[in-house]
Amino acid sequence: MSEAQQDDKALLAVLGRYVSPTRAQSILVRARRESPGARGATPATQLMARLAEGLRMFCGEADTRAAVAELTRLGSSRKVEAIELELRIEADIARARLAARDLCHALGVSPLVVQKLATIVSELARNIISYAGRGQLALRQCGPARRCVHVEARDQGPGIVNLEEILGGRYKSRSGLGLGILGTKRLADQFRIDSSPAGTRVEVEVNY
Amino acid sequence: MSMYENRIPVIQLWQRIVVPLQGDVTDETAAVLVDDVLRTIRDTAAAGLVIDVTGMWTMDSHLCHVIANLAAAAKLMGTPTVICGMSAPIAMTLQTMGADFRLAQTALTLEDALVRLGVTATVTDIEPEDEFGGELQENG
Repeated sequence: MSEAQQDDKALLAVLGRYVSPTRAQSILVRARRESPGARGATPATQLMARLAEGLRMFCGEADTRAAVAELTRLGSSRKVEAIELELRIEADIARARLAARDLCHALGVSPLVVQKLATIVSELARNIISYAGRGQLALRQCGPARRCVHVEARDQGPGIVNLEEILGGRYKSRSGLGLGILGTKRLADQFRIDSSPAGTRVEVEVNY
Repeated sequence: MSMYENRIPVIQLWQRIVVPLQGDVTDETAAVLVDDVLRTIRDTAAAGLVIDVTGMWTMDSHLCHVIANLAAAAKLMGTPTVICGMSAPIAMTLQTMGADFRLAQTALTLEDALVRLGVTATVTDIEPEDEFGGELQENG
């Protein structure tokens, strides 16, 4: 049996205790398909996020969390802490913040930091959906020696025209955009934003 | 996902409305909720609205905005709103961001929120039911 087959067998055994064998199989197949390169070099965290999404459809939040903790322990021999997400529709905002929470749980960060990161991810994702239409979000650990999470949001939208005004707190939109970016800056330990007519890139670091 | 699966219950009790928010509230669910609540206020002439956020795992600025707008609209209709059950991490995060909740009152627990809206409780001991007691005797 190959290493990958052994992996799948172990994952299925855990999944099978929370959902029926057929569902376990379909959750795993789907998770594998949606996290390309999730074997070897690329993070099992990405696979975990997908498995959590799958489980959430069939069991409650508490069970999902318990299952993910078990699944994470299975793969803890390999180091993995990165998630890449494509943002296209409004539902992806919720997906992004749940992925942020899964990453936080895998890293074992405090509830306050989970909250900060989930909120930051939610704000950045919403800005992308509302103002650029689509974009990418990447979450990872800053470096092996640092207790810190790095978030990067990129889009090819029209850029933010009144950035100075927003960051200075002088702008308040009816939909809450001003608070989204300013709030993210206030929550972050490191914050960098580049915005031009070719697109916007926000990089954030949060220590834990 | 159908919108009915994710619909948040709007509970009527003692002429007040209680809305328990739970889990991850998406933008779509929140929009449906605002409609439901305002319609219920109008239909029942409710004397107060409680938004219980105990079950929420996170709240971002958009959801705050939606809740603040809902409270403002309810106020225009003559119904005061109390938000209760905010967790410490959420409160800290919103405070750091500079979110503004001045339009609604806040309370620590659902009980406090209902008291603010003029509901007072009388609690008495529960009498054991005859039927249940009879069954126990038979089995014994």
